[in-house]
Amino acid sequence: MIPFVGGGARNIVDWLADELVARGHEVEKVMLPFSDEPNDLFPQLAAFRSIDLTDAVDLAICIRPPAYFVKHPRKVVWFIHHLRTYYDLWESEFRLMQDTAIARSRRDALRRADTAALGEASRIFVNSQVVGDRLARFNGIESTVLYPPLPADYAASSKPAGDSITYVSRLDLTKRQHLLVEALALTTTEVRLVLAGKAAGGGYGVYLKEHAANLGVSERVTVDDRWVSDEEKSDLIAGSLAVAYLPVDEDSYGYPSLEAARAQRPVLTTTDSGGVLELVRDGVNGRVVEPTAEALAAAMDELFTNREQTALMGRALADSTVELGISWDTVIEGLLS
Amino acid sequence: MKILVFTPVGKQSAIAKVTRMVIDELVAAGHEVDVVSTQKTRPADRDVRPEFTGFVDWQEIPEVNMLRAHADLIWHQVGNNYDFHAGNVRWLPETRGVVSLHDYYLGGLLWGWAADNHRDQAVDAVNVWYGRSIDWLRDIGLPHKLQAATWPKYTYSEWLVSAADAVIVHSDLALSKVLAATGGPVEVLPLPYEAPVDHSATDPDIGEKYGRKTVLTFGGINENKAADVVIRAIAANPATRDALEYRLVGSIAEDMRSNLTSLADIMGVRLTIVGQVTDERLSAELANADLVCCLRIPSLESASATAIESMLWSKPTIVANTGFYSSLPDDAVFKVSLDHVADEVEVLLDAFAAGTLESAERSERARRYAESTFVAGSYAQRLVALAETSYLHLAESDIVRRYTEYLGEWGVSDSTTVGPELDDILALFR
Amino acid sequence: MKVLVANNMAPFMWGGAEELAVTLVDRIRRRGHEAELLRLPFRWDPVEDILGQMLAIRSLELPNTDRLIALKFPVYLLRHEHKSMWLLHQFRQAYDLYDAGMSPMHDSVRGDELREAIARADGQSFHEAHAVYTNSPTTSDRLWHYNEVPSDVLRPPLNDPELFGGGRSDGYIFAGGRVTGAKRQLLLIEAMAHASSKVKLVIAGPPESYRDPAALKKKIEELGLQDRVHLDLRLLSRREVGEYANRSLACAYIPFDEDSLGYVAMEAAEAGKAIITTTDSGGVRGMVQPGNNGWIADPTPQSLGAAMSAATASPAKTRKMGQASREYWRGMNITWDYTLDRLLS
Repeated sequence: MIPFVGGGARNIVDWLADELVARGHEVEKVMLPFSDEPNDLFPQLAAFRSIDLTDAVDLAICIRPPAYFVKHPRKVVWFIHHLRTYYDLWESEFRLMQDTAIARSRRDALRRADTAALGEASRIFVNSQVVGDRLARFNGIESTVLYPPLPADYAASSKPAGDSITYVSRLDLTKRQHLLVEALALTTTEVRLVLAGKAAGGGYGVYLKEHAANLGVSERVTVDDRWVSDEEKSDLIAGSLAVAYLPVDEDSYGYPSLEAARAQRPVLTTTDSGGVLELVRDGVNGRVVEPTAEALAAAMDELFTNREQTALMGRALADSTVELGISWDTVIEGLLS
Repeated sequence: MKILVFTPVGKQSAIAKVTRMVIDELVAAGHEVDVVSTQKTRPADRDVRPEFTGFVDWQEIPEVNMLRAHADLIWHQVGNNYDFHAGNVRWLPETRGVVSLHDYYLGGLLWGWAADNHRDQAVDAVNVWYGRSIDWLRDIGLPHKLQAATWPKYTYSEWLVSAADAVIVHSDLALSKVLAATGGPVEVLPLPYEAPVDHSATDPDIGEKYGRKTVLTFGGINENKAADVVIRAIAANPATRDALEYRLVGSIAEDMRSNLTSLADIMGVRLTIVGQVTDERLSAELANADLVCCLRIPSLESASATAIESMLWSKPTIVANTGFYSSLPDDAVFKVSLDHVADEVEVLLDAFAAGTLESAERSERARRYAESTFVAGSYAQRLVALAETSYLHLAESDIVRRYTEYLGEWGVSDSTTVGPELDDILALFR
Repeated sequence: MKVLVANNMAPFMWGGAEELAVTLVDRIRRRGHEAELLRLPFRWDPVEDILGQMLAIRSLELPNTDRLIALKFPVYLLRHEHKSMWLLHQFRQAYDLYDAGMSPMHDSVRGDELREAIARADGQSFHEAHAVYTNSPTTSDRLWHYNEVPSDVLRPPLNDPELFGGGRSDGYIFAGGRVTGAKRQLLLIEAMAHASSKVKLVIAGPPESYRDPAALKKKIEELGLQDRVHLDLRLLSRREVGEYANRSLACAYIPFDEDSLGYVAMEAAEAGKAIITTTDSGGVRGMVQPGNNGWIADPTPQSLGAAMSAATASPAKTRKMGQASREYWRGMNITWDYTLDRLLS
C-alpha cells in the first residue's frame, strides 16, 4: 500500500477482515508500504519476501502486489491487479520508464518473479474475468473469479425512482462524465443527469459545468464536485431512474454497479467499459451501448420513457448479483476452501 | 540500441582514443551512441578530440539523467586518473552498466575523489571493502606512496567495480580481484588500438643523432616507468653509453625531470627529456626511435597503449614480463623478468648498442600481432553481448548490491548468515 | 502533515506497546494531522533470521510520508528523511540481557557477529534520526552506555486521564495493574496481616497465568483475610479501573525494579490519591515524596503494613496527600500535548 492513500484497494482489505472476524476468525491485517519507483522495485520485493508467516498464522490471504511474495505454506491470493506498468500498461503512456533494453529486462524479471511467487499459492482468485484473463495471458496462471461485494454495513435507501441518470463516482476523464453531458444534449425527453463526486484534478468539474452550459443543458444537469458520503450516495442512487457507470476499460464492475443493484436501479454503460460487462447485459439488467453521445442519448430516452422496463431491469440487476455469487459468504467460502 | 558512454574526451587521453574506435564500430553496426565526458574539468573545445561533437559534460545532471533514462546500454571507460574519470566516479554507482577497466589499480582515482571534497565517502568505501583497520588517508602523503605500500594486495578497484553489471579487462592481471568484486560477467578482451604509423614523420626539434641509436620511453613519465633503471643500464658499459641516446617523451614532474637529469649527468648518459608533446611530435619521435623501452614496474594498467603503439610501429620493444605484457607473444617483444630487470635490460641494451640484437623479424611479428589483435570490431560486439548477458540478472544484481551496501555499512564482511535467505529470494527471478 | 508511526508486530500479540502506538496515532490525528500506524512483522526467533529481516526493513520505502516515528528495533531501521524515535527499549537481547547471560544469542554460532551488526545498525539509525526519545531514564542510560547515543526522556502519558477524575473515598487501598509475581500483590496480602484491622485492600487486574489467582486466594485464606481483601481478577474495562481508583483511599503499587513510572501510579496520581510503594520498586519512586504525597516502605510485610495502617488511620491527611500527589504529577507535565510537541517538532 502507499501510506495515506486510502480508497478502493484498502477498503477491500478492511471489509474482508471485518467479515472474517464476524465469522469467528482471528484476523491480523498486514499492511506493508510500497513505492512504485522502478529502481527500488527489486529490493522491496526482497524485503516482502523476508516476511515469513509460517507458524504465525494458519492462512495468509494476499491481495495487492507484491503482498503475495510473503512466505506461508497456505497462501491464498485474491488478485485484484498487477503492477500494471510492467504488464498491460507497458505499451501505453502510463509506463513509468523509457522502453529500453534495461527496462525490459526489469520488466521480464518482475514477471518471472510474480509468476513464481503466485505459483506458490494454494489458491488463486481474481476479482473479475478481465483480471483473470490478464493473469493467464502474462503469467500463465489459471484462477477463479471471486467478485468483491459491498461492505456489510452498506445501507441501501429506498425511494421511488426519479427522473435522473445518476453517476456517483470520482469526476475524471477516464470515467467519462462529459460523454453523458454530450448525450444529454441529444436527448428528446426530459431525462436529467446527476454527476456527483470529487474531481481528482481541479479542472474537470469546472469543465463539466461549462460544457453543460455551452450545450444548453445546464438546467437538467447537476454537477456536485465534492466528496459524497455513503449515505448521500445511497440516497442519490435510490432516487434515480438509473445509474450510469462508463469508465474506460476498467478491470472490475465497480462498486457503483453494486450500489445500483442494491437500489434495484439498472446500469447504463458502454461496450468498452471493461469489467462492468461481466455484470450488466444489454436489455436484461441495464443498457450497454456504443461509447457515443448518440447511442447514450437514445438509451437515456428509452430508460426515461419505458419506466416499467427500466424497473424490471433494475430488479434483474439485483438478481444478477445473487446469481453471480457476489456475496461475502461466497468470497469467504472460496478463500478458506 | 541506444548506447551511452561515459569517457574522457580529451586529445591527450589514450582512453578517449579507444572510445572513439569502439564508437565507430558500434555506429557501423547500427547503434546510436551518446557521449558523456567524465573529465573533472570540462575540456576546452580545442582540447577535445574532434570526433566528439555534441558531448554532454558529467556535471550537467538533468541532461545526463535524460540520456540514461533512454539508454539501452551504458558503458563506462574507467581509468586511474581522477582528472579524467571524475564523471565515472560520480555516475557509475547510479547508472551501473558495462565497465571497461583500463587500470587494475584505482587507488589514484580514489585518492583524487577523496581530495575533491569526498573524503568521507572515500573513507566509507575503503572501510566497507577493506575493514575498519585501514585508514589509509592518515598514513599516506602522496598517491604513489599509497601504491607502493599496498599494491598488489589492495587494488582499490572493488568500490567502483562492484557497481558494474559487467566488466571488461584487457589482461589477466589481478583478474581475481575483479571477479571477487562483481557478480556480473567479466571478460578479458584485447584493448582496441590504432595509431597512424608514418615512418617518415620528422620534427626539426629532434636533433641530430650523431651516429647514436635512440632508445625511447614515452607516455606519462612517472616512477613506474623505471627510467632510472634504463639510465643505469645504459651507463653500465662504456661502449653502450657512447652508442646510445635515451629520449623521454611525455608529461613529467619537475622533480622527476631534475632527478633523472642529474642521474644521467653523473652516469655520463646522453639523455633528452622532451616533456609533453602533440600527436604529430610523438609520431616524429617514434619514427626517430630505434628501440622502445616500455617498462612498467609495478604494472598497473590493464593493457599498455604505449607497448601496443610501439609494436604497431614495428619497433623493438623491451617490456617487463608481468601483467599485460606477459600476454604478448614471447617472440614479438623482448621480455625481461621482474627478478632481474636491471641485469636483463643491460644485456639487451648492450647487444642493441653493439648491433647484435636480432630484432627485425621480431618487430615484424610484433606489428602483425598488434594489428590483428587490438581491434575495435570484436570489442564492440563483445561489449554489447556482455551487456545483454548482464541484463538477464538485473533483478538479482539490484538486490545483492543493495544488501551488500547495507551489510557493508553494518560491518558484516561475511554474508553467509543471510546466504540461504538471499538464495531463496534470488531463486524467484530465475 | 502525514505522520507514520511504526512498530513491530507479532501476529495476534497485543500489549502495552501496541496500545501506546494506537493511542499515539489517535492523538496525532486529534491534532489535525494525518496519521497511520505501520506494523511490520518481526520474528526474533530463531536468532539466525534477524539479520535478514534487518536488511529487509532497511530496504523498504516510505512514499508519501512526511514524518516517521519509530518505536522499536528493528522497525527504526526504516529509512526516512525525517525519522524520530521513541524507544520503549532497545533490542535488549543484544545488549543488557546478553551481558546478564539471558540472551538466545549466546547459543547462536554467529551471535557475536550479529550483536556487532546490530550495534552498528543501531548507531547508524540513531545518527540518522532527527531526534531520539526514550520512555524512561533507564532506557536512556542503557542507550548511552551501549551505543553512546544521547537521548531525551519522554514518558508515555496516560491514554485516558479523563477516567481518573478522583472522588470520595470508600476507605480501601487499591492495588491495580496486571497480577503477576513481579508485581508482588502477594506481598501486599502478607502486609495486611501486619496492618491494622481497619485496613481494607482491593486487588483488581488481569492475572498473567492461572497460577496467580490461586496463590493469592490461598494466602488470603491462610491469613484469614477474607473480610478485608477483595479480589477482582480479570481484564477490567478502563472505566472499571477508573472507578476503583477514583473511590479508593490510596493506591498501592509495588513492582520489583521497574524502569517506568507505571500506569497504575500515574492513574493514582491523576485520580488524586496518595501512593504506597517500596524502596525497590524502581521508576514509581519518582512519583512519591514520603510524607508529602505517599509512602516508600521497605519491601517487607511489616513495613508495608505500617504504611497501609498509617494511610487508613488518618483519612483526612491521606486525602490531602492525594491532592499533593495530583499536583506533583501534574507538575511533571507528562501529557499528550507536551509529548506531541516534542515528537512532532
